[in-house]
Amino acid sequence: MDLQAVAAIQAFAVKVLQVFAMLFAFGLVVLVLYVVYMYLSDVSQTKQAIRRNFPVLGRFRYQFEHLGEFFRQYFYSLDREEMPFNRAQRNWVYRAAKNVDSTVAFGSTRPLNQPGDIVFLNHPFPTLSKDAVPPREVTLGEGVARKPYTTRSIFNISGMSFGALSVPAVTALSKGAAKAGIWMNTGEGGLSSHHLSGGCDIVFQIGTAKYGVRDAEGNLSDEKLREVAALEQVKMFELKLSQGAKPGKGGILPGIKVTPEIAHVRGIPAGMDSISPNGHPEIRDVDGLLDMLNHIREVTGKPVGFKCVIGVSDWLHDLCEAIQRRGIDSAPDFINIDSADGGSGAAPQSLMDYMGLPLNRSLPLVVDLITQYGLRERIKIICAGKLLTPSMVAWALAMGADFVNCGRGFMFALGCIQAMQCNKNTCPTGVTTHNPDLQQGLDPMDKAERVYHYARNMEYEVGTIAHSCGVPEPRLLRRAHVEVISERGVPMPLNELVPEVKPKSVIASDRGVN
Amino acid sequence: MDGVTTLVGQGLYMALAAVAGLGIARLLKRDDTLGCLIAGVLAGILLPVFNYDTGLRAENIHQLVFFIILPVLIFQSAWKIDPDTLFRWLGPALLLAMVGVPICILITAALVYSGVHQPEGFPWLAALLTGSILAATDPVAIVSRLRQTGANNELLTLVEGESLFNDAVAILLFSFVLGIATHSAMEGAVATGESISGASGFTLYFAAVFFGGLAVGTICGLLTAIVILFLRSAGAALMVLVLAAFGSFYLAEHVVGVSGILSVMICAIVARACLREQQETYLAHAAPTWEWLGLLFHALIFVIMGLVISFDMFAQHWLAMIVAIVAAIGARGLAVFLVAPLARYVGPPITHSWRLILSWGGLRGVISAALVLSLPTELPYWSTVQAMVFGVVLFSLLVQGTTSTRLIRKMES
Repeated sequence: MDLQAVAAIQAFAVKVLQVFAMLFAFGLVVLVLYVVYMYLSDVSQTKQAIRRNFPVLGRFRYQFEHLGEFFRQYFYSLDREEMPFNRAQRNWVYRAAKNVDSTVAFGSTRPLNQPGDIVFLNHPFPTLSKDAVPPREVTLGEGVARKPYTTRSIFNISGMSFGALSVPAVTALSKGAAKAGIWMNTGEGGLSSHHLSGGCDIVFQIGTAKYGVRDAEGNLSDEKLREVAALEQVKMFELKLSQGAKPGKGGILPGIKVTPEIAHVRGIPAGMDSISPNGHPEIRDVDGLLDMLNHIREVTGKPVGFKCVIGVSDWLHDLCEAIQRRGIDSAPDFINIDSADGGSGAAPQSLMDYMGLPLNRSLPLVVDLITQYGLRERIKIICAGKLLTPSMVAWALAMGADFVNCGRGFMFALGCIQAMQCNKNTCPTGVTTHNPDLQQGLDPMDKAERVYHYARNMEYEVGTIAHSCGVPEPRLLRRAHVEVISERGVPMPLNELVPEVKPKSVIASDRGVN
Repeated sequence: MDGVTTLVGQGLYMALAAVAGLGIARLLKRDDTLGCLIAGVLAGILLPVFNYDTGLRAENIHQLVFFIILPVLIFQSAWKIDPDTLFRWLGPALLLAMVGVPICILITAALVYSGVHQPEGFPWLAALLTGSILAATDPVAIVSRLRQTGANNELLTLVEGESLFNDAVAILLFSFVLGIATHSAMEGAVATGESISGASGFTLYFAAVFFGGLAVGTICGLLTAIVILFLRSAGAALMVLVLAAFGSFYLAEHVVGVSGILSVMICAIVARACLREQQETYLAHAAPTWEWLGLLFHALIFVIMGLVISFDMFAQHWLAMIVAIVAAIGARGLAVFLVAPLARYVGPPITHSWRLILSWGGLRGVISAALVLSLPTELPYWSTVQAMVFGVVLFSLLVQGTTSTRLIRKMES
């Protein structure tokens, strides 16, 4: 072999080695200096006691605490122990949205002895496929609004504002909803071109700050309301009194998420926190509420209802009496009952965790109350609150709801992984961030398909439950089809806990006379 | 003994001129730099009257600039930048400096070379020297205006960070080109004695100088942080910081023989990032200290520039000055608009209005003036380069500085 070449290679190898040795030495020096720096920095700071008492080592606590979140989620959490939605629920939504096989094997992992859980009562002779019918049409505002709204859909997209959601997310929801034939609630952030782009039915929500339909002083502007109502796609108007995440507090959109476009849609300055008042200043009692609802219906000609979280219920009696006094036409066309456990929005923990009634109490309460006053046919009931699996939707229908709204289920369909950073503009899946880098992960066309599949599979599987219970369509489910597990771990009939009520005009006049 | 008193006297004369300059600026309601320039010119006129010698010679200006003035100016501007925001804009700022500056230098050099069109008296090397001197930008004026209009923090950090990296790269390349021009491997004032030849030799040398500077700076920064934390006193911390600024440069440049500018810059950034938690305790007085040090040297440079500037310069080189002004502004604009669209691949995107502010607001100021003052007079094209750079700096001061306020206001609305 050529000696010269060998020598050259050798020289080269020695050079490379020298460079690496130097790099290593440098790295070592820097490491040692860095550890010394960390030690001194830890003992001289006064904010964290652990770091002060255990310099350098104390830092691991914060690192591990941070890592622990991911370890728990990916390695240690069981299928059914995460909150707010466990892996079993999320996986069902993901599979439904991707339209892949959603069957499971080797028995239920759901413990069938937890108090409060529900089971459906199957029928010995289930509805055959040939006897099954699609859900019946329901008309809201029939004979009252100039343009009543008729729909077959059961499962719809709950109010999530443009601002809370990103542009691609709203676009995907709009397209998916149009394909599935369901409606989409705008949330309180006004109506943007992205909502309209897919061509779905729109329910316009009027929040406490009246974004999108406010004048310069922040009052409701009839002119703008008329403009919105002129759009064929806008089917109904919903007046928001309170929302599940924070009953008694207005919507909060952090300034970092108020981009120029969002500010324009809402009619507010860009970059500033967008904070809604905690209530409508012009509505102070049930008469004010009815006046407002009738005014909006008068201006828009479309069905109008309100959304709220139920807490105290006296005012509902007052409301029903006021309706009977004014005539049945003055009633809201629907009531949207929000469960108290919160949605995508940013909220103080005490309100999210402790304020308001959960749906399993408030839904039967309202349904029974309006039934007693004979308003059950006039006022449709919409409900929302963690109803993202077929069993929960079927339960709500059996309880007496006409429609179910769902927000976070559709967020999962959009690719949400429950990172719980909706309020920070750092959503890793692009659903609730306005950072273009993060948004680019969310392809509206692909996710629109997932939204469609999720809605369709949901309807299909709610239908399956109905058929197993022996009724031909989901809206025929009754409380008698459900049993709820008691504290002894034994199921007992639901209608023993919340019996079906009949309209009793006596009660109404009873309270009216005094 | 005599030497020391002369030195003190000379220093005081300059400092007095600087203070007078600040006074003139206050009276005229103009930038401090312009006031100092006028004061320098006046001081130059007064010199023959007193029959006084400032002791300023081209050869000691070079050392003064590199070992005293530049370390302070670079350390100060690196210290000002908020490390967290800088980290977010690191990609775009580095991109503009590492890619934008070489592009800017090449374009300026080409324009100047073809504009002057005297291959014997003004060779390519001279054009490249001019280009590298003019690539260093000075954001002080623009930053103070942005602060007045209450522009957002992100833009401020981008402007400051970009100009810091710009300066470092421009100074590095200036030293490198100067080394080639004077036929010595030369960084700052240090000649290694070895002559370097061949493209690979230059590349290797450049890489060693570059990465060596970064390494020395990192170690110096960590050491600074350690010593400050150990001493636990605000006064001592200031002492250590000032020592770090001069020391990291001296160590890198004179002892190790690598880039001192990069070393100072990295030292400041590392120390600042490491001492974030001590902002209110040991470093409570760091900001004003750097402010006055920076102001002093800033003023000094412009006083010296005023001393050097003469009417003959304009008479002889007016055409070259105009060429240089057009070249400098055109090259900066082109470089920014070529490179800025790539920013979104390495970090947050730079909007169109920000690009305008970056290119028109890229004033040539103290660093360019300092660099050109440090040019050795042995170079035959020395006076032409000096005239060109002075022309550009004057134009920046008088025209760009005043119009950029309007530009910023327009962008904001």
